[in-house]
Amino acid sequence: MSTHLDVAELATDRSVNDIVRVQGLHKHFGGPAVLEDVSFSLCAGQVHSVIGPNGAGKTTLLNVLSGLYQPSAGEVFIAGRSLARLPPHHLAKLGVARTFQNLKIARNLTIEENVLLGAHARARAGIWAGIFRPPELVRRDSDLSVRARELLQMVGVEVDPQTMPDALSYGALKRLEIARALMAEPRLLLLDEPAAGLNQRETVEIGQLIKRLTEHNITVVLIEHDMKLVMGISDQVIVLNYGRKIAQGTPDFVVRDPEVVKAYLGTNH
Amino acid sequence: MMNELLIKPSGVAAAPIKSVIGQRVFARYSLLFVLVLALALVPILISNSFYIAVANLVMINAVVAISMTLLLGTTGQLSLGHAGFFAFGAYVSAYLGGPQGLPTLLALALAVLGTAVLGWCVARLFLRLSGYYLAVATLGIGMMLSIVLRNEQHLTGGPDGMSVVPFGVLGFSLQGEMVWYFVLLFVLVFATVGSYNLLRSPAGRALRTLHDAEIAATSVGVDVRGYKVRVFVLSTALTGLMGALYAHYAGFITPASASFTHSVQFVMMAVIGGIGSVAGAVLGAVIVTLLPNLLAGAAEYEVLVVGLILLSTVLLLPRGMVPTLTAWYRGRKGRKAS
Amino acid sequence: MDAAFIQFLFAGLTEGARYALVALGFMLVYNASGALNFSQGESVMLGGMTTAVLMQAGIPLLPAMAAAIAVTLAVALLLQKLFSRTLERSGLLEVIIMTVAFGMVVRGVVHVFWGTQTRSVPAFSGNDPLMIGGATILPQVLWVIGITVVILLILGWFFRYSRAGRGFVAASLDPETAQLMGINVRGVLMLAFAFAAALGAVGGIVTAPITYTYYDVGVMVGLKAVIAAIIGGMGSPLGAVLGGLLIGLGESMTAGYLSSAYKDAVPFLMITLLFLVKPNGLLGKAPIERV
Repeated sequence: MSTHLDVAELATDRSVNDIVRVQGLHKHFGGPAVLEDVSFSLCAGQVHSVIGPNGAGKTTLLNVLSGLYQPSAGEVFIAGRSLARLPPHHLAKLGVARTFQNLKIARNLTIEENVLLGAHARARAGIWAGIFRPPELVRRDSDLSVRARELLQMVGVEVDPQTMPDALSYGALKRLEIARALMAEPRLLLLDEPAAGLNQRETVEIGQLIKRLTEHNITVVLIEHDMKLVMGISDQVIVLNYGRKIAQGTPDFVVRDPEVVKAYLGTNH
Repeated sequence: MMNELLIKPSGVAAAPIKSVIGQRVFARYSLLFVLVLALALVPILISNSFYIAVANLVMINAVVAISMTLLLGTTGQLSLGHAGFFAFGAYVSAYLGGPQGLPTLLALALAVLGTAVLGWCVARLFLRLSGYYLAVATLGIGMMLSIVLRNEQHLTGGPDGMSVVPFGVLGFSLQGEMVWYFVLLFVLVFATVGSYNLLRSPAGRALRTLHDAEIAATSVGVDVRGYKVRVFVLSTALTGLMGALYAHYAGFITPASASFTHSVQFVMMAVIGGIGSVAGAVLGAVIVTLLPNLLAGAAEYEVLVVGLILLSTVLLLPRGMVPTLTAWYRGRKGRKAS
Repeated sequence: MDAAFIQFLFAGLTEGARYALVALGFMLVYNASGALNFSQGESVMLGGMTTAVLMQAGIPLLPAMAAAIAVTLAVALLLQKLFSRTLERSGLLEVIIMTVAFGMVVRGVVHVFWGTQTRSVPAFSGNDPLMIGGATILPQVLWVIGITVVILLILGWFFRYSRAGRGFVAASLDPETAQLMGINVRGVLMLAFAFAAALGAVGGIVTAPITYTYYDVGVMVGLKAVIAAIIGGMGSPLGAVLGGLLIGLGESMTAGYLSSAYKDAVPFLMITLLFLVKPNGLLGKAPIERV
């Protein structure tokens, strides 16, 4: 992977290889650094897993990539565009979608409406348009409804779309979030522990789903603790420990790295 | 791009979906149409102008209650100073149309615009506040407006209020309960349909997420702050409009219309009917407006009865009357089916 | 010092003392539960009105006061039950609305049974004014200030040096850990409401001879006391007291030197300005949402 790329070229070149480029990322919250000098690039259309012991800074990294946190130092580029000073809600337009470790689902919206939320950037979402309902809004909403139902079926949430979220199991809600993220037709999908709380069969299904996404050039960044899942579907693994990147490479390569072994198993081994 | 992932059922799956949605929409609109027709016939059937007057007051309150429930039911913002915006709209229109001699239509438009601007300022300044801090800030704004209105006698006529010129448009002067009934009915229908539309629309979905999943909204591209400000401005502008209409309708306006009690009444209408429910707001307005009239003989019981109704609603029907009734009705239908 | 200034100073301290006591009550309940009790002002009304009614029925001062405090406590405990239940079942929003409704019910009951007339309580030690620095001060004013100081000292001692008090503070800061340590968190909430009620009732009784009392005196007092508590920062009792005094003095100085018509606007102006500068109240920290 090259490290010097003309940013202007990247911005216009849509089939760029490195969809994510992180350089010297530091993040602190007024105290000790949560992320320290993290640098890496991610190829488009692949599954990249971020692993590491608890407190390693994985979720913080994801929050930086999704624009919720601004770096304290360093630079982050997504599809060639710098995230510096970009308001968090602009990332959806860049093609970034994500799920959350602590589910963030609107409890007063139906399942279908929750999924439809994912298409916010593509819908006619002005307040006046909402009040007057021009035909274009009606038509687009109806198309979006069809797509939302298809996505719900695809992720395996098989209930009446008018159901409220509180009727769904934890696993189903996790998959609902994925459907919502897919609704945005993202090119970069950030998944925060998608398999947490799922049983073995569900985990395998999620893994298959994620793998299928890459067939359409969707890049997936995955935070996970489930090693079987990580090893099984990842094209690349990045290991964080105490806020630093300690390894990066294919799953087989990383799992044999002595630093990684030390981080996970302690210095006695 | 994504379509290859799925068995492409747009043709097969879409058709029944569209017709189901279409059926529901048609049913709802026809119900509304019948209702509006019935309401339009009321003044012809009941010619007692006292009842019409009560209905007019109900309709004015109903639109404000709708604006309150929009605010409360989507983003969860509690305003304890909405009566201030109501009075602001009323006084501005009264002042511009009366002492300043502007055509009342222009005065009304400026009053609504002015209230919107005021609402925008309040929103931009205070929407950063969390939870009840916003409620206290709006309470403060409402109280300050109330005090200013009471004291600036040369502008507002002081505590005794000021008289308001009747509303005139195209040479016609809108006077009399019957005429106002139809004007207000039109406004109410417009507000009701508009709100229903808004809540079902993409903007409405975004707004309703802001109550408990703001971060999720941000991640899908919702400009949270922008939406919160916009719905607050919409709510206050609508309230200001009704204040101005009320002023021209009643022919008189006093600072009492900006009182904390009045603000609480608006909140009550939304809560009793069901936060977030447009039909609930109308129902709440009916209850809260009619109550003093029902208790006309025992005025000292008013505060107590109103308080008890609100208290029991919050304790027993926390979701409000309309959502509770709807859920109960759906539950019965479900049981019958099984 | 200017006699008028001293006059205003004492007036401000008197009102401020009342606000301070109610603001303390707010703060206690807030710290124990995280929610605001918008009916806190009614404790002032109940204290003063009950005392006035009982005394007009012939009961002497001290038993009337005791009964008034007891009545206020009983009402407060009822509120606490409803409060807890609403907090569990619904959210903060519903709780706030519920307290507003509860306040209306209390006011409504008093309205029905005791009417709207203004009532008064005889001054504790007569009405012969004292001369302090050239200003005429009612002796009751000294009672107000004195009793408030005594109460604050007692509270201060209680929270710092007694077991129950320290347990209260601990439970407010970290309810989960406190519960693990054996502190009865439910009891803490009851205690908070009880204290708040007693404080408000005393405040109402002790100022009734000066400001009179009537069925809806609690509304404005309550609203201004909320603001006093927020201005003082909801964390410390000292802050609540300072907030109350600030508002009381601000009002009396405005009434004295600027315009008595706008005196009521002062607290609301203060809170609006405060929020512009510090949007998270005096405590300052923005809520951190775990993502």
